[in-house]
Amino acid sequence: MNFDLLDRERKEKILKSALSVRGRSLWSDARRRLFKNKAAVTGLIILSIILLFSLFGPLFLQYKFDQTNWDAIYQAPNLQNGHYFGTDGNGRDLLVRILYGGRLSLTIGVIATLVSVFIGVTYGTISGYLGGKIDIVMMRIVEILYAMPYLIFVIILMVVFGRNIYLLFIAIGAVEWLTMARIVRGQTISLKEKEFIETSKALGQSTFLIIVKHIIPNLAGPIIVYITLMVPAVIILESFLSFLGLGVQEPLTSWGVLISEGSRDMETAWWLLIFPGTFMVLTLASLNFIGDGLRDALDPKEY
Amino acid sequence: MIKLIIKRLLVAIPTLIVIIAFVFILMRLAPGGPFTNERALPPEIEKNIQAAYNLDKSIPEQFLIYVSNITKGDFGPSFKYKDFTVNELILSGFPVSLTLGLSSIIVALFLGVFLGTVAGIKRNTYFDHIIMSVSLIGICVPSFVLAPILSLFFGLYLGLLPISGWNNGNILNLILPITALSLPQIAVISRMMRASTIETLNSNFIKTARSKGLSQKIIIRKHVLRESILPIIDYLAPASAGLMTGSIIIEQIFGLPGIGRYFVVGALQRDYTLVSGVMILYATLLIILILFSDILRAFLDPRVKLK
Repeated sequence: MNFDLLDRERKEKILKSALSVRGRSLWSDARRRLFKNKAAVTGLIILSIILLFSLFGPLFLQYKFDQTNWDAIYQAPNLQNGHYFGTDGNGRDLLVRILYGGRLSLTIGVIATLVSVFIGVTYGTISGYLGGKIDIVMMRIVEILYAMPYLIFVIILMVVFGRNIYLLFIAIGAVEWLTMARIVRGQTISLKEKEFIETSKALGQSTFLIIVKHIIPNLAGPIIVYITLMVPAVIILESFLSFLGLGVQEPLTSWGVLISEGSRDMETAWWLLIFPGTFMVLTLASLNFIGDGLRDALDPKEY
Repeated sequence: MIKLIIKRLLVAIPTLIVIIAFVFILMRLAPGGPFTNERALPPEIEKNIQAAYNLDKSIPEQFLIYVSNITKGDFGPSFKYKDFTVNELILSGFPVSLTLGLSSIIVALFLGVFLGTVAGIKRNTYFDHIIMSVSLIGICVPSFVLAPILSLFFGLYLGLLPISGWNNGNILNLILPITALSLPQIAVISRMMRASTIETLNSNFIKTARSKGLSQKIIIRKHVLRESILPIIDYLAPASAGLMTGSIIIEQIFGLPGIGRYFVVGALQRDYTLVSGVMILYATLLIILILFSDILRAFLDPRVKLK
């Protein structure tokens, strides 16, 4: 079909329809692939439900998270009196405590992850972009830190500086950044050889702006994938510390604290272990599904 | 090869010194020492105690004394377990932790590699789906959730296995702790192994082997396994670090007298020498393991030697 031979009206029509078609970007492609992945969608739904419940659930329940009731100690789950998940050894309602614990566990998961992503991305881009001797030294440091049992460091930090939630964020974030730094460095090295970076250099843009404006936006894919896979790891880490009695303190609670208390009382009150455990496992599973789905969506290598 | 080993050892020494210094400084920064009591001691006694533990000297001096003692293999006296040295405590706990850790890593390696390879070969069959779903459970159920549930079920309801205690290393007492400790690692290893088996099966040298007419069994055993196991060997050191930290909790849940328990108790009670002793032991073990996995890698992968 020869374009010149068409009449004016049809030409305009074709041009208009061509303009109205939106190009498919990397991100819209990725979104399409993600929503095709049943496991990832299920994970998204379960995670949203848990998030909404943790945020708004306590508003609709008749008990407060620190409200003790000496007449209702170790009550089994009961639909009549409003203790849907039973009560603990102080007569506190387990469901409210699980929801409050969820708020805390998820907050810690997200904030500590962001801290470590910030450190990791900064370190990794600098090391990868500058290259040379700086890169060798910076990566050797990462290698040395890799050989350390991190968790033991966190335990020492928590013991030394007291059990403070903010410190917990920083301590976890500060030990989890190593892998991020490695991934980011590798990607940066391959990115910096690309033409568009050379163009910016030729235009006289400063190193800082090149890193912030051109390198980091192009790392978004791997960073997002890594975040979804790291949040569950951090939640486990927090629970681990709380389990040892080094995390969150009463009357505040987190899933780790609840599981720890539950495992002590499990012989008489199974619900104290099973319900918080289920919530935590569901959250971890959904996050893992979403992370796997995102990885497949952003890096469509067939497995 | 020898060059590689020497290079690694040279890196290991500064690493250890950094770890020792770090722990040393942190513990000194902590508010409250090991002898802080609610009732203040008479000043002369306090002075004597401090002199006995070298706490009256300046901090750099204390550090030098400590490091020189460590090079002689002496971790000093425990601050809290008054009649014991750190060496004695570690020696009493180490066999327990070592048995637990070694058996867990062996179980995790064999089961993980086996299940992952089979899942990779039989990709997208029911067998594969079952293994992958079970391994997902292993990843999502942390060991401190799994361990109490296991002991509740097998110990209390079924009454098959003892739920706690060491009992001189009786195999029955070890089954539950090893299961709880190794399951998350089995899950991770089998997933990695599956992915790398699939990748290897698609590579050209396997096609060559196929076209030479080798049997499936020989291809898998001689060619696929050797190539696809490499990521697992790199994972050996992180896995062991995970097992070490995991064992701290597992020892507590199952009441095993290993060094993990001493570590937690020591940290909570500011037993400086005990904590840094355990920490140095962990770090040394990890460094040896990393060295071991590097050597194993060079042995299995001839490309490494060229570097």
